[in-house]
Amino acid sequence: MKIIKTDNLSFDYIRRDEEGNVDGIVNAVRDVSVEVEPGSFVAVLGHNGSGKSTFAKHLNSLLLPTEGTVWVDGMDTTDDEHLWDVRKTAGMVFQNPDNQIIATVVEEDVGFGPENIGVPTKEIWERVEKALKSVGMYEFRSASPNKLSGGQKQRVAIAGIMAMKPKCIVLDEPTAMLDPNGRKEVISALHELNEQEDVTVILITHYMDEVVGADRVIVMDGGSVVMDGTPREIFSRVEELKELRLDVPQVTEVAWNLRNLGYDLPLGILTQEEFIAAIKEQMGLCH
Amino acid sequence: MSLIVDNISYSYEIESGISKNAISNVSFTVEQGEFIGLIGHTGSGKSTLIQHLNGLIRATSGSIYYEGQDIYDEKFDMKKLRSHVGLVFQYPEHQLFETDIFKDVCFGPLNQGLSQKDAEYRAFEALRQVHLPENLYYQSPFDLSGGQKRRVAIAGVLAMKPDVLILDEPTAGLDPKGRDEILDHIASLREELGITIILVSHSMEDVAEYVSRIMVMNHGHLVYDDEPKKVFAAYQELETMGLAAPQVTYLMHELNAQGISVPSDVTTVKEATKVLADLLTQSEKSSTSKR
Repeated sequence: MKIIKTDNLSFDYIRRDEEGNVDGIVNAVRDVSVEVEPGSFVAVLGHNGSGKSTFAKHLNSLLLPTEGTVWVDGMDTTDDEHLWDVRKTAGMVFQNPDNQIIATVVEEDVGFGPENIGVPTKEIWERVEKALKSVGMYEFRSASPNKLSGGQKQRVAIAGIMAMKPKCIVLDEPTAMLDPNGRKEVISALHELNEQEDVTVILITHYMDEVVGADRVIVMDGGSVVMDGTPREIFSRVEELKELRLDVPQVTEVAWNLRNLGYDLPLGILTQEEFIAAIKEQMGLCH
Repeated sequence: MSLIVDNISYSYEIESGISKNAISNVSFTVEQGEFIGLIGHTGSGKSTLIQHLNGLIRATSGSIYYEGQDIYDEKFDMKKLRSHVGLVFQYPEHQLFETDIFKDVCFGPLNQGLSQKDAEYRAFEALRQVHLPENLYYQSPFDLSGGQKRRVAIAGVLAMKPDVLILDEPTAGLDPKGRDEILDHIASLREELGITIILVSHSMEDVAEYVSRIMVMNHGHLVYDDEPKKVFAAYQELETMGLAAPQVTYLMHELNAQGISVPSDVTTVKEATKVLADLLTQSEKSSTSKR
């Protein structure tokens, strides 16, 4: 079974004036049909206003489709009976860690979710321990969240979701407010969760270098999916990405520039290693 | 305009009797028209430092001189300083509050005591400087895109005609094109108006692309204050401070490590393209001559 399946998902924001009359309708998501394999790492790109966040909020019933259907692990998100199961299955992490942390001690914050759904105390502590270890924050369990760096806080927020034992985590620009180290910490924690716990990761980001390690990249524009492929396939289409207000990692861009100058570098170079291998090949240093 | 920061420290009490230094012995001078990048990990003291520059926070010790005047002097007009040194906070669009964009931008100059007419003129000018389409001026600021809202918020500060514009992570949360647009606008404001820009950023790539001087804060100390190439040459030290160099700088170092000799002080995509194009052209030539 697909962990996420959407069928012709559309969502309209209805703007109303002061009297409550309909002022305008914004089609934030249009006819999106995607399927996500369990255990995959999917990055979602798109400019501000492309519909990424609106799409993401459908994955745990924060928004319900205007038209079409969303299934999370086989459950229809509009089905009241399964609301809490949907939210347990697909947890969400947002941009600002300060808005997501509510307790004064790290381990209490992580335990808040399971406590809320009535998990027995002993099991709560087991879940908290496991969740904090899975994001490398166990040694900070007794710390006050406000003493942590941005990257650490965001990992605590992710642990808070992990303690709910989700099958899927949806992250909406989790690194937008972090410094370079914080970004690295969060992204490597996500890859570890994905590989070791087999959690499906859906990562919305504006940072192209965070996308390189994903299994699949979905690009949205005007509420629709306009590209869908591996990072190499997507980052081979530099011009189209730039037209969509997006970008490519710096090494990809340098390689693409060199190609345009007539040097025969392969398309879609993603990493420094690939770049150096391509340069060596060009220089005839390859043996 | 000249701004001299002389050995300032700022400490606050964390528990009774125990205080912590957010800023320790920081000194630097800012000249008219400079484009400075201020980088540092979360909690390094960047935001605390910039709030000293327009008197929002008062240093525990040390002095700040604006145009040769001590800003902590009793006779010094702090309100005037705030209109000379404009501060754009993180996510400034959260501070938009008026019913239409034009009114929002008028708020600052009206507060400075300007007449309605003069304030409107300033607002018009400022909105033009940030290239907001005129048909949007009388719309609600909440109907704009993220990048447009941010430009309106910057216009709100520009309308006060600052000599120094300090922006705390102006590109956070914007898409790549939006980032470039905001930074291009900021760079052109500096060129057109001759104002000084201090850009606080977590994006090493952006800083490398735009600024001519980088200041690095670490645990409340100013540890580097130099041109970008020199600062990024210390990329290993930057990493220990939770920072990094642009990806292309790493690429150059790695090429050198693998025996391909290239200049290692490259910090932008454009430079890297040129350096590598030259390298490949040379290697083509030498292989042809060997044949």
